[in-house]
Amino acid sequence: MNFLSRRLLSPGARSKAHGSGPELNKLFVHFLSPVDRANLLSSASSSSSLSQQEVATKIKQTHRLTVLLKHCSEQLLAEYVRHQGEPFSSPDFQPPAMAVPGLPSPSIPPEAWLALSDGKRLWHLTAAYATLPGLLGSVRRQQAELNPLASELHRQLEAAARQCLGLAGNLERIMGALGLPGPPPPSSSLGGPPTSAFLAKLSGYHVCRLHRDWAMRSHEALGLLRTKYPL
Amino acid sequence: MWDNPSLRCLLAITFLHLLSLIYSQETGFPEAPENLKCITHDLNRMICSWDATSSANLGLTYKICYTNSEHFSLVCIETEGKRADIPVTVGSTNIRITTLNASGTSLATETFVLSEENVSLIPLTPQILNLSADFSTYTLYLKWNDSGSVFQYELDASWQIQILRKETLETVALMNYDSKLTGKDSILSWNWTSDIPLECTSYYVKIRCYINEPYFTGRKEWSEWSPIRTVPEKDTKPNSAMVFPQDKVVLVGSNVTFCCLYNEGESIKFMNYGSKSYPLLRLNKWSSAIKVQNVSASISSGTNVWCLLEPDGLEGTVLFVGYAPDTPQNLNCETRTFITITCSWNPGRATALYRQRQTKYILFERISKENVTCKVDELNKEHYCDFPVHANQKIYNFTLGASNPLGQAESSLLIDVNQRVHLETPVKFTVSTNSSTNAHLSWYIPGNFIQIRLLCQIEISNSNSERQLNVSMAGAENSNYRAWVDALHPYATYTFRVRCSASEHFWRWSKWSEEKKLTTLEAPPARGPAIWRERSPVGETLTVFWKPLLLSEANGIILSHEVSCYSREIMLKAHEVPVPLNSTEIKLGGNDCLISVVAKNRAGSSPPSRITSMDLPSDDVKTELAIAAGNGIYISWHSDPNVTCGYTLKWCISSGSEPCNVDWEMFPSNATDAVIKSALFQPGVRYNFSLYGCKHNGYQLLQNITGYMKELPPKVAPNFTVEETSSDSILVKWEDIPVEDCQGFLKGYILYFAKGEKGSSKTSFTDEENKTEKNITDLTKKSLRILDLQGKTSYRLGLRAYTVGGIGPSKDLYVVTKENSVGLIIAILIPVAVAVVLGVVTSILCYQKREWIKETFYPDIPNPENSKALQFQKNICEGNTALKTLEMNPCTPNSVEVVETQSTVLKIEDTEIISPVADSELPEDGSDPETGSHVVVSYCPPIIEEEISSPPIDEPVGSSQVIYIDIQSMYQPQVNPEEEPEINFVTTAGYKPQMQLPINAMKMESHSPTEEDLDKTAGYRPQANTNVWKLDSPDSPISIQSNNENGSFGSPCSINSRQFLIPPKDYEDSPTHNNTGWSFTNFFQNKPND
Repeated sequence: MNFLSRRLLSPGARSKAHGSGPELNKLFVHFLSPVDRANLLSSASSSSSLSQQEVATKIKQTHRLTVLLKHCSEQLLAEYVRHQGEPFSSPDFQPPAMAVPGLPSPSIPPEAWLALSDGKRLWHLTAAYATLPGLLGSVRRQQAELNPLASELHRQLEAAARQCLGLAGNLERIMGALGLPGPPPPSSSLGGPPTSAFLAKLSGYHVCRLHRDWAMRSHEALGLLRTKYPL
Repeated sequence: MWDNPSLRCLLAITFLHLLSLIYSQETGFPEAPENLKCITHDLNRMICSWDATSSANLGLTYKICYTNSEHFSLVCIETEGKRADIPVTVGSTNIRITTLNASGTSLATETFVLSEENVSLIPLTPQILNLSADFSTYTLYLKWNDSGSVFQYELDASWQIQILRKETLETVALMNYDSKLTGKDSILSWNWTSDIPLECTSYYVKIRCYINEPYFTGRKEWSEWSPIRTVPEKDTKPNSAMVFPQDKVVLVGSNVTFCCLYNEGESIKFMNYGSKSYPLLRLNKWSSAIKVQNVSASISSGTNVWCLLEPDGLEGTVLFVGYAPDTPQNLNCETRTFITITCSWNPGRATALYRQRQTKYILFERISKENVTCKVDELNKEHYCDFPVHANQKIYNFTLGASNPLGQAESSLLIDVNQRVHLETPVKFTVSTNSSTNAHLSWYIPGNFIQIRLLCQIEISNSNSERQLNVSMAGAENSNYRAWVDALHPYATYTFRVRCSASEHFWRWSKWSEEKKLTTLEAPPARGPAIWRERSPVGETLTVFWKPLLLSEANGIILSHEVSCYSREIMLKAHEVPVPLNSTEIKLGGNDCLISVVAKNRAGSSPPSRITSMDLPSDDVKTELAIAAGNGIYISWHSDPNVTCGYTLKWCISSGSEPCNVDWEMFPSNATDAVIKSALFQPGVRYNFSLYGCKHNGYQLLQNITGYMKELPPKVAPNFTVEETSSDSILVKWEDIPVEDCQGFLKGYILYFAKGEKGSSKTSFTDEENKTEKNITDLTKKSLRILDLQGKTSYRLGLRAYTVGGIGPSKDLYVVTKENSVGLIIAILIPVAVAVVLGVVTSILCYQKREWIKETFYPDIPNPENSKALQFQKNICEGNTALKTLEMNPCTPNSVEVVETQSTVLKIEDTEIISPVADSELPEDGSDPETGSHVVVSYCPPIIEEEISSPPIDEPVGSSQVIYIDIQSMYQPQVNPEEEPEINFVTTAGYKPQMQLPINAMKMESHSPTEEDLDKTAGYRPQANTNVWKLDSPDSPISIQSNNENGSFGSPCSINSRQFLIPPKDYEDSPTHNNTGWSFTNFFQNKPND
């Protein structure tokens, strides 16, 4: 496991990811390195150059990535609420849904989500993951103010942003390979600074929760796609 | 007071007069003015009003006339209304009001006398100029005009401000505010802080005024309330629900009220502070509040306050609870480079507030009036802030201010920057040398120190020393500094490091630079080696020894030693000995020479060490003992005046089988003692020393010394044996302990001995309680005799040797002393001898008295007078003569009690004893009357009683138990079969004296056959067959008393034949035969009578 991937994994994730084998490790390099990301984006235009096999491999890699993302997003949400005090840290805390500007809500019911076309699902995912890194960055900044001592939370937020960025790159490449049109460029931040600390905590909570929800959706979507594009 | 009639009268008049002033005389017209009332706002003019009926007469006007107080002229004005504005007059004024109709005809006239007391002073109604709110501090700011210009002079004014809230306009506060009117209009301001956020509900304010004119005697009243002003709405007030206050920072322990605003259609479920729910206080229709008391410090992200709304809403705010900044502690400012002054401090107690709420520090310098905002990392315990050094400013007066939303604190420090120089760590430190004693050092210190001198400390250390060298040097700007170190030792490795500070005003040392190592160059050895020489016994060769030089003396690596031999300054021979050899042999060839030894290293040769080979003869060399000093050996010697060039003490320490290592030590001529120390000395080992004196022509052996570094107890027990033993002594011999086992100088032996057998539990003598010990201090003695022992007893012996160091182990032996045979022999011989002598004496006596004995005991013809038979006869009627012979202490009571004729018996008994006939002729007793008692003892009835086993037969005198029973049983026809052989034996014999008749009562144990034969053949025998008598004892009272018919032949009671009265032989003998002991005693006791 290379140094970068080690830094990105939380202790729990590390132990679980260990069993995933070298294939997963190889995947990290794909989505974590900024250079790679640049390559992915540039190659998206020349998508037709990817063979069917390569697309299937990419889908498989991305699917494996979503497994990790799903796990990390759950950890992040737990770590986030741990630092916000009551009522966030309460196990039965279920605040009313709050719209996060710029971030599509995975509000489509699961059945309907699965009933969507691959293209639509990928479009939604790509749109969400294009926005999430910026939102997570904003949350990271807010938490630096509110919880300057919570270094693990900061680390996980940074890692989540990078993971989302990597997934977004992979999704773009898959869409390009499949000849699907990508979503418009996002406005990836929470806008202006929140008017109050409570709002900052609440919006950060929603971002983390949406991040988790999108990770689950992406896991399902890529799972479906993988069955359609077997190796 | 009221009792005074004149006073009461005066009061009544005054009252009536006052009434007349106000109310004019009733004229009777309905249009007549009445009830005149006057008020003033400014004490200048007053407004008077009155009542008048005007219903039927429209167009009525009023003419008011009053006297002008200034001109004392009557002024009249006309007015249509029933009020008029007239000047305020001092004292009282007459006012005449005339009612005129439309045509100007006077309808009625009324005159009022108006005094000042009847005028009311009511200030003008104040107007609120401005009402603003600071929502963050919950404060309302109120501004109004005091209308001071109304009055021409200064006056005290009071203001009452009322705060109301909620739609119900409930009064929250009614506050008083006093001010002074200055004659000019002034804007007054006032503020009020709410206990709950202003956003939580609506607030209303109104104000009124009161003028306190002390000289105005009329009524003074509050003004009207100003029109109500409401708190302006906050611009940012959202339409949506919210919780207030937002992100407020409060001190730990504060009481805080939070309110939750919600929209129409919503309701509040609950409201929490942190995890705790609080009771809701309803503020208005859309607002509820909670009050939290004594809040505690919050976590870094603050404490959430949140309300859950119905049907679906969550609103909240965050409260940051912390502390005001602590006073910065340990503020310290110093410069490192003279470019900036760095101040450091400890923030003290944590505020629990972070980032934008964290404590902000500003460093202010009062002299230059500059300040610097400090960027501190709140997570660091130590905070730093840099302030620039100003040219031409030495003194800096710093004030460090700390502030956060909850308060502020500060610390101050005045410094002279030249006295607070804490230099940076010297870097680029180098050390070099090109000699054996010097080194050059160089280092770099960043900063501008042109104005000061530096003091640098150089630490020079090697394995066994450390010194510090202080160097003062002029400061420079970002420069290298150099130093030179001398007095180093050649060929030594040193470690250098350096640190610096300001020289003139020491403040602090910089940190030490990194360490550098340097080895100086070699130099020739500082001195020649210590040398000694020894001649071979023959004297042909000389062995020269030298000691290796110390590292500090060698100044390098010693490569070889050059040994040369000089005779009168001419070198005879020389040779070089490479290391590591430290001795060499020189063949002298019969000539003595001066030996010179020189040590050489790469840098050169040492000065030579010289010694002569000449040995002076010595005689009578004594060996003395040295004293163990524990850590060395103390040796002393007598000073020898001929010794001019010192003493040399030489010894040799051998290790194993190798030849011993010669070692020596030299002392000056005046020395007489020394403690010799060596790492090779071991405790308990004997060392031999030779003391040589150096005289002008050579060395002479003066004395031998032997000694120990430390004496120990002997290692082994002395070997000892038992040379001989007797019944009361043991001779022990022992051998010397070998010197190597002594481990010290022997001081003596201790011999222990105690009774004890091999295999006893005691393991050593130390716990033996009854041991005896003998201390043998005479070492020449090799044996010892232990005396006064008991014969045939096992002894345990132990022998231990001892030195000053203690007592050595013990060797034990067990010895058994011999039996004491002489004593035993004596013990046997004495009784035997006594017995023999007694026997001989007895024999002699018996021989000499044989006639008497014969006459007495065994006459050829028994003397009837001696016969008991006579006594029997004599006593036959009395029946108890025999009691005399049987008389013995235990028996006497029997004899006394038995017979009925007791008195007679006693009498007879006495007579018999006294009677000379009876005295001399008592053959039955075999003894004289004196011994009778002894005889009687032996004839104790219990003996008889024992022998008689037959049951008793009927008896006339039942009370005489023992004796009568005996007799009767003897006369029983049935003979006890066990007794028959004896009887038969007697029967077969020829004549026997009656004494030989077998008597059952006595056992003739020592009856030998020869005696029996003699009895058969010799002497008189009674005619009757005695075996039919069956008499135990002839004088037995039973037989005497027997009255039966058989009594004639067995009984001595017969008076017809004296022959029958002879007592049987065994009667006489029986005492003798029955008991040997008795016989002896009896024999001896009878002897004097002979």
